[in-house]
Amino acid sequence: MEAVNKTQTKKNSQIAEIWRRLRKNKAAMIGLVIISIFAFFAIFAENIASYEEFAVKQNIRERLQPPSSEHIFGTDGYGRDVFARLIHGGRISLTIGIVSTAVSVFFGAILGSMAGFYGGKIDNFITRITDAVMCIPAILLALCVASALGNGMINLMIAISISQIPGFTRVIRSVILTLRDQDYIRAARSCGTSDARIIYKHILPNAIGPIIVQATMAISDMILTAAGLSFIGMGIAPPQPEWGTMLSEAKEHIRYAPYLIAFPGISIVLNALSFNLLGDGLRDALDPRLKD
Amino acid sequence: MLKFVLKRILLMIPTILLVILIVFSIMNLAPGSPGRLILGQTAPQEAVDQLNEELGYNNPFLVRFANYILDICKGDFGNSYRTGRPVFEEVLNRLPVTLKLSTCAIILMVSIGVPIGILSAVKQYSAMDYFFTISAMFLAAFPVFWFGLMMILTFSLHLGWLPSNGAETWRHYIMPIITLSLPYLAIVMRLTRSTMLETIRQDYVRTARAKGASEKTVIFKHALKNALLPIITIIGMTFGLMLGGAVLTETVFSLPGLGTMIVTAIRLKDIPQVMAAVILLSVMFSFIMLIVDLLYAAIDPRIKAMYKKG
Repeated sequence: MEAVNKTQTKKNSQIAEIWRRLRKNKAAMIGLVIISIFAFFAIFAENIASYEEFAVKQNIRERLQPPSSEHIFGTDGYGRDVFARLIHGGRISLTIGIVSTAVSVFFGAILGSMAGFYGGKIDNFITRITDAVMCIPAILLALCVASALGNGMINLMIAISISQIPGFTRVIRSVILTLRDQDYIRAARSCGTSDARIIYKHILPNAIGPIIVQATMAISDMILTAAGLSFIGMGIAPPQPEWGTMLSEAKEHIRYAPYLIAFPGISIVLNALSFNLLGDGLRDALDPRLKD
Repeated sequence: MLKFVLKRILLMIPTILLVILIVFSIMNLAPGSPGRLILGQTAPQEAVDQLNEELGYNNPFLVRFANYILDICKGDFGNSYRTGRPVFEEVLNRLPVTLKLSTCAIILMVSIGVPIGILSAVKQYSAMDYFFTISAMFLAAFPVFWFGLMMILTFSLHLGWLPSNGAETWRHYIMPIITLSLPYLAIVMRLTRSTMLETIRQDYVRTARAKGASEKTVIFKHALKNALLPIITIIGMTFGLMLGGAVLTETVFSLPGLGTMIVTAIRLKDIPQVMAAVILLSVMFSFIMLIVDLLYAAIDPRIKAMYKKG
């Protein structure tokens, strides 16, 4: 019992230590604050502005109104409130970013640990496939998958996750290669622990640092790719308010309503930037030796 | 050396076959048979079935794949579902625009990004270094299509300096080139900075300083020469990313390149057209990586020596 408590405190203190280092990093904190603000609006989007009433219902009489006290970010070409669409769009963009990263990490962890742990033929096979997938420019791969599966949020998430899996597979494989021959892994194996348990219990926890850093950065990539696919009409279909979709709709009104281009773009930039800043900060906080 | 080159080229063949297999399988998931797609929704089922039979669509997947590969070896990428003409013709027509765009963007990126990266590393922690680091952070977060739209807004609609779409003159290329290079400029700046920082700390750089070499010699002859290898890899990889990024840039500026062609072809479900373009771009990317590998060996005497022995 006592031993359990001891490891518990040790774990906590490690997290506390990482958090203490992270807190000192101003850029990472700015990123975290921006993400929290967007997340707040995304979570409470329905309470702030009803989806049915403000984000998708067309109101031609109020179309293309510049920002005012009633519509703080103005209205779009169908008279919908841009602010309401932005916060509901944030819901979609953040969900896509986070869920597809989680999916990529999951498959990357399975493939990467299999390749790194077993080596030999399995490693060769997995590495060959990842190399081939990495030869296809990510956005093109996502485009192909999206076009084969059709529009929609789930399909978009599948499309962009697939293009990120090879990256995670590589990172996880390389971490596991360095851990595979450590003594404590040998000890675990000599106790008759199953391979799956060794990977899950003894190897992956040690690989968690690089995975978290890579994942945070990947969220930013995913948000950009998802917005790009929606922008060319292969992602979230109108009238759903995804940021890329909003930009693509705003293109028609670029002459009279430039604010329609500004706000979704700024949201994408701020989110992508914040996840990058946070990822950078996490890398330094998790491994202070890496800091240049 | 020749043996190494040959070995690398031979190793590319399975990778390219795998790339084709992956693209082929993904595009096969698309609903609808080629017969239906060519003849349209209203065509009678018998005609569709007959056409499918003629096109070999009813064969097993692997047979179709093998036939596709054999056709490609003969230079035949199939005919467009929409126009009935060989897709490769259209791809070759569009390729120069994309190549011009990405090559110029690479040149712009290297000529700005690498010097700035070196400068930031040499003057680490100076105001200039912070300024460039922060700008790189912002640039990396810019979606290319948004930046393109903002450029159109400023330089075409407000100032009227540059045309917003088309590819008739060199002036049409200015905004797309800048747009495409910006996010990658950020990557190159950051990575050049970090590799330079790493080499500046090496013992041989300290030795060079100690023996009294001028700062210029130290940076350019001792540090940069060694930092060049990773920088070349980065540039090669960026080229691949750019081929993808070109899709978005071309869409924003309506440039008639491969990217816009792929997007139109995907909308019209013109599968042979999409596959030909994606395969061509991926093969180009692997060739660029091959060239990077060869350059590596050519520049680095250590690697060269390794292959001479073997």
